[in-house]
Amino acid sequence: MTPVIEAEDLRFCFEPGREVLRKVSLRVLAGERVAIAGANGAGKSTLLWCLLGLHRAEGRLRLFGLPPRQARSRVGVVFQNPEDQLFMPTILEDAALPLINRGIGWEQARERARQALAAVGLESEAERPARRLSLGQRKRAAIAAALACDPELLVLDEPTAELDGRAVRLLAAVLERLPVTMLIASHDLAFLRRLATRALILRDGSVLAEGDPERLFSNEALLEEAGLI
Amino acid sequence: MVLSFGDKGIWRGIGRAAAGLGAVGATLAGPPWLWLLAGAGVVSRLWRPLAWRRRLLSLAPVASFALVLAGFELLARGRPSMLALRAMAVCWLAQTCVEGIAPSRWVLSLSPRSLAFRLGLFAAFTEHFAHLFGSATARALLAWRLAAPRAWRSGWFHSLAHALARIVERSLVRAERFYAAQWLRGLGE
Repeated sequence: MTPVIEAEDLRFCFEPGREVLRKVSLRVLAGERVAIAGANGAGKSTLLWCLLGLHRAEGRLRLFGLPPRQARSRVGVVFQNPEDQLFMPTILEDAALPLINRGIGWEQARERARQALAAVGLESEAERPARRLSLGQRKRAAIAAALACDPELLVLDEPTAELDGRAVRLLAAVLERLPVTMLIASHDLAFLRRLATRALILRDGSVLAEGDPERLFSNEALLEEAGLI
Repeated sequence: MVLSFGDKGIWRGIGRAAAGLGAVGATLAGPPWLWLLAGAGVVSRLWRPLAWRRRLLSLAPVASFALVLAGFELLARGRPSMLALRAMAVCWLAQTCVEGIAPSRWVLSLSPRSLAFRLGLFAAFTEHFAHLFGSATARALLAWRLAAPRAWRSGWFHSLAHALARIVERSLVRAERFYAAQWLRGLGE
């Protein structure tokens, strides 16, 4: 079976001589929920941007066996700030827009967008604009917008940033139910512990540890070394 | 559809269309029509349901630009032409015309294969980014006002310059993220 993500020795720097990613290797299989944990500045978001083809990293990188830019339609992304994704008058239209852009009829696109919103518990808010929703709801709306396109891989960058405890629990419950491969970058260990089937800890742009989330996130010495506690 | 005179939306639409025509007219008109159109531009910017301070402030960016333009002309030719006045009339009337068109409201009614859909989508992106830029600017200026030294004292101008530079920098980062998000959704091309 072709891995969903296959990255070998990824290197990336914003300016010469200062590597932000140092020989990062990662392999994600279908159905996995892989956590990328690390302190601020560890390189989590940069790694995601490289994996998505938004930054050109050195090394070998394949998504679904293809160069990342060619696999774009199979990936759904949820950015840290939902305002970067949602801009239509209603969240239903936000979720439907990429489908319409792909040539799917408005009725069918709306139906799929409704299903995606229902999957994240926002069906009743479908006709409201994103700016009228709470941050937790906006995050879920951004997930719905990604889900509407039936992605095979869902990438989430700091999904719990700025959320209160209740919103985090609700978000985790929503994500747990989704039958899709996930890559989640965060420093919220409790959230990752609940969701992830495998974890990767980054420190200064390189992989410090990889393995079972329960084991990694209960190792205090390791977490301290990674700057996570 | 029957249009009712009580429907404010119709009058707003007519007003915006007139402002658009006025903006086009201002590119060609000479005095006294240009003065009249510039006056109409001022009235259109002030005729909005906002606090007076905000209405007056909304005139400031274009007025400052026109002032600088006139200053350069004064230095170069000894007297300013009608260019500054024309710039003000065109900008204010065009702002009034474009404001409230809200492309995101009608873009989905267009055929996704058409050029109009692409243009509408681009306009919707621009509209959203302008909103993000506006709110980021307001937040940054509020933070600067709370932290800045008293006006005209040492460091005041310096801190203002840094605050403005930071707004530009943050806007670029935000624009990059927004573009990346839309590109990944297949919309950014």
